[in-house]
Amino acid sequence: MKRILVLSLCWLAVSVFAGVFGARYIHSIDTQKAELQIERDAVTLKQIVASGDWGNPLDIDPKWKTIESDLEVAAILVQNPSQSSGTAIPQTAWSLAASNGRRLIHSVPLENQAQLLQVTKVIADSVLLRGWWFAWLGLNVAAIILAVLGVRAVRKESLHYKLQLQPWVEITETQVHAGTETLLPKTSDATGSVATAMQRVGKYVNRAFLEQKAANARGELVLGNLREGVLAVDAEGRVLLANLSFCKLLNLHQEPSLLRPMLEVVRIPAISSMVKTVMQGQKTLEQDIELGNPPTYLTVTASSLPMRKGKPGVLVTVRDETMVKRVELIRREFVANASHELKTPLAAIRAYAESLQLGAIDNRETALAFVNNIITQSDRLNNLVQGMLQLSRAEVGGALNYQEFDAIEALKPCLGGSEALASQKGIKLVVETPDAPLILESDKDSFQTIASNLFSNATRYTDEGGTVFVRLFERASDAKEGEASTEPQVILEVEDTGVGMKQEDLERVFERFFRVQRDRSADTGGTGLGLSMVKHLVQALDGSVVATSELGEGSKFVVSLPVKRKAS
Amino acid sequence: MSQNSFSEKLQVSVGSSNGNGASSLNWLPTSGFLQESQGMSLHLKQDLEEAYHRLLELSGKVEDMISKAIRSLASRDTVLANEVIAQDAVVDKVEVRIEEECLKMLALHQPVAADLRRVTTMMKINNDLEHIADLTCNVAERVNDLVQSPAFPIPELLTQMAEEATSMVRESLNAFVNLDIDRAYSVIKSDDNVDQLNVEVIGQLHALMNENENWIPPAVSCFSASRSLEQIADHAVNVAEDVIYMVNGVIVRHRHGQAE
Repeated sequence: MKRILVLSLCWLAVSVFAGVFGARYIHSIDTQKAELQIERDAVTLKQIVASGDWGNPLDIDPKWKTIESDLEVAAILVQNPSQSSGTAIPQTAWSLAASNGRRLIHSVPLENQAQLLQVTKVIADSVLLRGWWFAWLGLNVAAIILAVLGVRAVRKESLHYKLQLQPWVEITETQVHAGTETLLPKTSDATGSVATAMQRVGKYVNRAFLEQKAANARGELVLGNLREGVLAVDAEGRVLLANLSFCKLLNLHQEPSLLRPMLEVVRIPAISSMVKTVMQGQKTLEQDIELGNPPTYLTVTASSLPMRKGKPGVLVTVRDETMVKRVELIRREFVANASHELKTPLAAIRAYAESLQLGAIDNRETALAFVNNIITQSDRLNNLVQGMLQLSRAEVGGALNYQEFDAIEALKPCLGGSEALASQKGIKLVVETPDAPLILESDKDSFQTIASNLFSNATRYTDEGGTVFVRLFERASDAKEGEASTEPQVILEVEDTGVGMKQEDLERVFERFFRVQRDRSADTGGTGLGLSMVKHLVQALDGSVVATSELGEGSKFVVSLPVKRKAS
Repeated sequence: MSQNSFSEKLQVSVGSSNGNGASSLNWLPTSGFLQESQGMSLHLKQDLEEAYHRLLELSGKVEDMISKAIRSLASRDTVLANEVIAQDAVVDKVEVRIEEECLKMLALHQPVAADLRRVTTMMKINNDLEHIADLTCNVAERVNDLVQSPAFPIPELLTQMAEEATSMVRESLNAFVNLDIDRAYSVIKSDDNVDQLNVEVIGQLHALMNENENWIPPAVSCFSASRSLEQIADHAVNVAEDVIYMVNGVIVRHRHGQAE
């Protein structure tokens, strides 16, 4: 708009300048022409005067003589040049001169010197000048009209472009978000080339954008699936990043956390104080914290996070140490238990031996009893050592001797050991086995160890007058529709009506040396390794063992083993 | 720097546009609570920010105390319980300091409208947090009594109730930092649940007391702990109500039925 104004002002100045100068030039040409003419007229008049046509030159009245159509000449003989006046010129000529002309006066001296012929000529404005001004006006008007038309045309065109381009912007916007290539509508007019250019630019932008997006997604994927929790905080204490694990480990809500004050997002005093300390210049801090109930043990590390610009922030990483702690606890308990179990029979043996040494050896009967006791205790010790060896073998998954055998036959000797104790305590032993032999391809020794361990446990932890059920059967492969067909299994169930155990103990019953009640072992005489061994042997044989129990109601152990050896 | 922030924004807009749940980064312009209101003076803003941060630290401390107290109750850990009891003095000190700061703000800046609500809400939540800390100490003190009778079975419902109360406190504070009314209302709703649990726990304790005379003292301790937990839940509801007041300017106390 401003430019148009300036342009039109320039145009105005130039055209006025040109008009005025043109007019003046035409004017001067006119004047020259008139002067030439008046000189010629004066010569003619002089001849007339000389020829005496006007009579006495002194009597000559002012007389008008038309020489040419548009120029009128008046001549007057002036006696005294100083008294010249043009009053004698007729009114018509004067009015003509006043309205559209000028007056030129030319004086010619006559021969007698005393008189002066004064020629007055009225020059009308020339057609040329008038024509010039008309042309000038016409040109200007034409220019204005052209300008207005041009502006309107440009306006229309730009509106056209605007309307045409607007949807492109929208198309591009939506398609860039969707990550697809933008295709602009093909047009034939000038917008077509713009579209092509835009499309190319859009392609590059799109590619760069998609690459950036993919890189971000990769980063986010890696950070999100990291098992360690990561939190980045800038120098003002605002959250730059908090990954999924961080929120999970600290039990935070997955709120949008970007650029919010860390205190709002993480309200854990230990972590906020660590962040504060690191911000004050400490390099790296590490601290173990406990959270929640049951507690999770977390190791939190806070370190300085150098930024590209400005003060460094803080990077906090959180690691879950709960499993490590638990394993450590189990190991500690195992060592304590093993030494305790070994110590008890040893102490007894030593006590009996000391008694014998102190004189009991002389009393034959007492001595015999003592020696028997020593043997019993050393047997127990031996059992324990054997058990531990067996267990470590089972854990390693040592050489298993696969063979086909009848499970029912194999079961019988195992029952024998427990039958004595059962009858002693008045426990009813109910054995349910199929009539046909049950051929199993497995390790016979392992099978027998599993069975006898379960039986002895069942009889040991069942009060007098209880019942122990032993069931052995085969479950055919039940290939239901939609489910993966299971291999045929041999199931061994041992159920008792004994003391049972709590749910939380049930989870730990397969641990080595685990006892539901610490003081139980004395009266039952177990090693605390039986169930652990069962678990490892069953695992080695590709089977599974499930324990269910109700406190005071009894327990049930179900072992399932594959009938055929799994082809490895 | 400008380039940096641009790329961040870009990344954020990508995350939100495809609604990807995996992206934990979503755009939110800093803290809702500290958003400037019109004509807020710089000094008031600074004071408000300081008090707010102190309050957040206090809330973290109180949450930590509750969680520790409950853990000590579950494992009958007197060391942990005593740790909780020792922390109460710190909480008291911070509470007084925050209240002083709030009073100073009221006196010096004479805030109006939203700013006034901010300051008063902070004072109220501060007060509630202090009460919660006291009640938490009550629970922790009961642990010291309970260790006297190790055979006494603490009702499982009590643990459940403790968990519920803890999550209510956490949710109410989450509602506060996010200015999230829906969350505040859900906290108010879950109070009924805790009340119900409290009644059930007391019933179980009655049964235990009838069963065995020796269990009367530990059962009374449990009773007291249960009551404290119930009151903690009530204070969480107070915090939630304060949040609703702060956001909507409506006092919803004593009329939960119609407030929704």
